[in-house]
Amino acid sequence: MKTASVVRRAVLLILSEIAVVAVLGFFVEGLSRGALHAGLVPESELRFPAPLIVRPHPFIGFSLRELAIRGAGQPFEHHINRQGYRGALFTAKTPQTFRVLCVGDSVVYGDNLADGETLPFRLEESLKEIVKTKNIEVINAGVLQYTSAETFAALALRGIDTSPDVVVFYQGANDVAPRLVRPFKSDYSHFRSVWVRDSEQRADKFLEASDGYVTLRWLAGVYPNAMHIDYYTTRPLAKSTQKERESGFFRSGNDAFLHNEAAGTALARAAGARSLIVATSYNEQFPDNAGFLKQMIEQNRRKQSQTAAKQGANFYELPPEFASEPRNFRDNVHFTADGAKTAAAHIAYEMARLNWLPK
Amino acid sequence: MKTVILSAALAFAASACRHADDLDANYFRPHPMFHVEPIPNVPAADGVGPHDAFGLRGYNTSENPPIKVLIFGGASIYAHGKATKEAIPALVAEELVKLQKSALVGNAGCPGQCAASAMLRLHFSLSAWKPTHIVYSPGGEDWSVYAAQNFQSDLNHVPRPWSGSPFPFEAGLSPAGAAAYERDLRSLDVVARMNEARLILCMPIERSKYSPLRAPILKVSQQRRLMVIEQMRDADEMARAIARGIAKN
Repeated sequence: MKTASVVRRAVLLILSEIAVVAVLGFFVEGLSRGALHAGLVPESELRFPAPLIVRPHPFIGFSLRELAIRGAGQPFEHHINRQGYRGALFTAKTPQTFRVLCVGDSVVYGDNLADGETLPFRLEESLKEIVKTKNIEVINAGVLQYTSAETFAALALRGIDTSPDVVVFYQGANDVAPRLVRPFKSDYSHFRSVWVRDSEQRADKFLEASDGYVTLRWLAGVYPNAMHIDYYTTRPLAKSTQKERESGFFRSGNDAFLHNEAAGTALARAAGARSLIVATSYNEQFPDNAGFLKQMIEQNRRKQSQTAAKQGANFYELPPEFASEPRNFRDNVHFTADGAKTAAAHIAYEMARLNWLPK
Repeated sequence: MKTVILSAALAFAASACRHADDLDANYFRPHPMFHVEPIPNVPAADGVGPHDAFGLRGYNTSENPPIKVLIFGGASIYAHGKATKEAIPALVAEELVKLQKSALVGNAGCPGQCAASAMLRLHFSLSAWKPTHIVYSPGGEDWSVYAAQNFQSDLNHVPRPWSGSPFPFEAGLSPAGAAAYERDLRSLDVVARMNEARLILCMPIERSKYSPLRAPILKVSQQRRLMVIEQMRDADEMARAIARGIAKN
């Protein structure tokens, strides 16, 4: 009798707590809808218009999200295939296939360019004009925001598996930001955050149906920050002065970048692929070039040729007239559609000049 | 009042259950580039630590002998739950002294560390330690990662954060798992050679749970001409074998 009474009281207690939570929930939901209706909360900053283009990866940090679309409805709509690369799907390599893997950052990925305008896509076109006897495939393994550290890890765990004949390295621009943060660490853990929770969580998606939930999330400061890749991939960094950044830049040096690139070429060689290191080109007309980016690219360029020679790779610089032509760039380093096409043609001819292409 | 007491009791129970994990959380953490790392510069506690500035267990010295060995592996090489001096790397160091070799042996084991994470940790961090020899000893972590039921060749199936306890679903080593294991061991050798270190691979005991890992290890050792040492149940014997291998190599 006593037990039944205790159980009844416990059930009542639980039910009353559920009722309180439900009333609070309805209150928050109603208040949020009212705020939305009155325009007090910006609706565009509450929910992702589409899944983020990248997702967490336990060993690489992050990688492209399979079947994601970026810039939907815009002229430069990006499509990620189900293999996690931008561009066409590729199958198991046959003796008739000559495969090039382009690795690097957003310049290789082709941010703000349509799928048919990226450097790897244009490289495939250029190579197909030169080589008629084999099936040419160029894989776009560029990923937005990749530093040389992610490029190395992605090459080791993903790129090598594609069995490339040639690996083209085009990277360096994103290695600037880690150098501005002190104390610099060669594993980039001073700069990169550990991304554990994917933005596409099922529970989160389920709760997103509630205006109250997304409004609370917005008030907590999660969105709109969460719409940017930095929010997941980069540590919250303390504000620093120009002098501190300069100090960080000069103390860190480019050894880590060169070490990552050298190891990448060594991996490629061990997998039977040739490596072509292409120096990052920058827009000489762009006003920001007085800053760290230009210095880093120039520093890298001087050492990249040595890395290539030591690792049995080849080093290539786009001709000087390419960098002096502003039409090739949409900002300091990213190519325009014309720029990507011209750069690809230069790289293809360099590969032909090196006698790397099948007869 | 009853609700408060109930909540407090539940919180206490949950905290007691998580005690072991909390201890580990002070010693190991997820890493953005190589999945998991021992936290550097932490003192010794019950069965964990101390870690030096590189996250190596129990070694903190400015010596610079001609032989510098890093022994990689998972929880068993780290000797998780045991005293520092009971770990195989410590025993190897003793054996090398007996062989009159001036050597420094670093315990680069870490719970949750598989071949891929060892390769990445060597490349990104421990290459600065300037090892002359790398010993890789596979164990439960490799089995859990490469023989997982939901295996993906880029290892995206590995949960994060992961403290090293085996996955619940092991399916056995598939051809894809074996190929990825070979790839990561090969990469480990590439990174070792790039840093002018020699890689020695250890082989799981025959007819043990992990014996399917033997075939890919053997294949890589033949392709890359690497020394192979058989793992043994007796830690002292295994340490002797590793020390002899280092002395010869």
